[in-house]
Amino acid sequence: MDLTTFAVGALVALGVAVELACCLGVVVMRDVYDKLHFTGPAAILGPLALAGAIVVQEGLNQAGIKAVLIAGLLLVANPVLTHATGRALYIRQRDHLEPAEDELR
Amino acid sequence: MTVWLAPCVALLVGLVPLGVVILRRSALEGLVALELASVINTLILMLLAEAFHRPGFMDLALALALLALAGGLVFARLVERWI
Repeated sequence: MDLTTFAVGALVALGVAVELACCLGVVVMRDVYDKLHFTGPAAILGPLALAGAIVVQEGLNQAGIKAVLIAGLLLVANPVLTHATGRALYIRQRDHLEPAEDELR
Repeated sequence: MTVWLAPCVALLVGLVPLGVVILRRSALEGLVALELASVINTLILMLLAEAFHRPGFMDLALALALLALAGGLVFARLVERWI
């Protein structure tokens, strides 16, 4: 087994392991805020590892550049989505976004 | 099975518990599971394009990543008050 094959296998295994662990986390955690934490590694570590595997295999050709683009897009989109979801949960629980009078003191 | 197809199958298995969360838990928990499922589906499409040596198919994964962002934001807005 040459070094490239080993690196590709290791990166793919890392990416899949991160994704499956995050799936498990979303299923097991009881609170929605706790569940939200598990979308982070799934959208950052997993895509970076899998895009890295494709770049190692293919180099920076069409496939490699698109894989990096996809990983970058997921990396940028995840914090936005997590913030929007957390905000939605907060508003749903309290019925308002602004702090109440007694919370300001 | 190649090094690219085996992880696709593993990721597909990971979608099953997320589907259970979407079907059986509250709307917000389902939304979190849906966001994670979108990421996994994007990665599956990316791996399939690589497995079949069709780099053009990666555009599907790119489009899904973009649409999942827009869809997630719309769902979050709806779940805020109306669902």
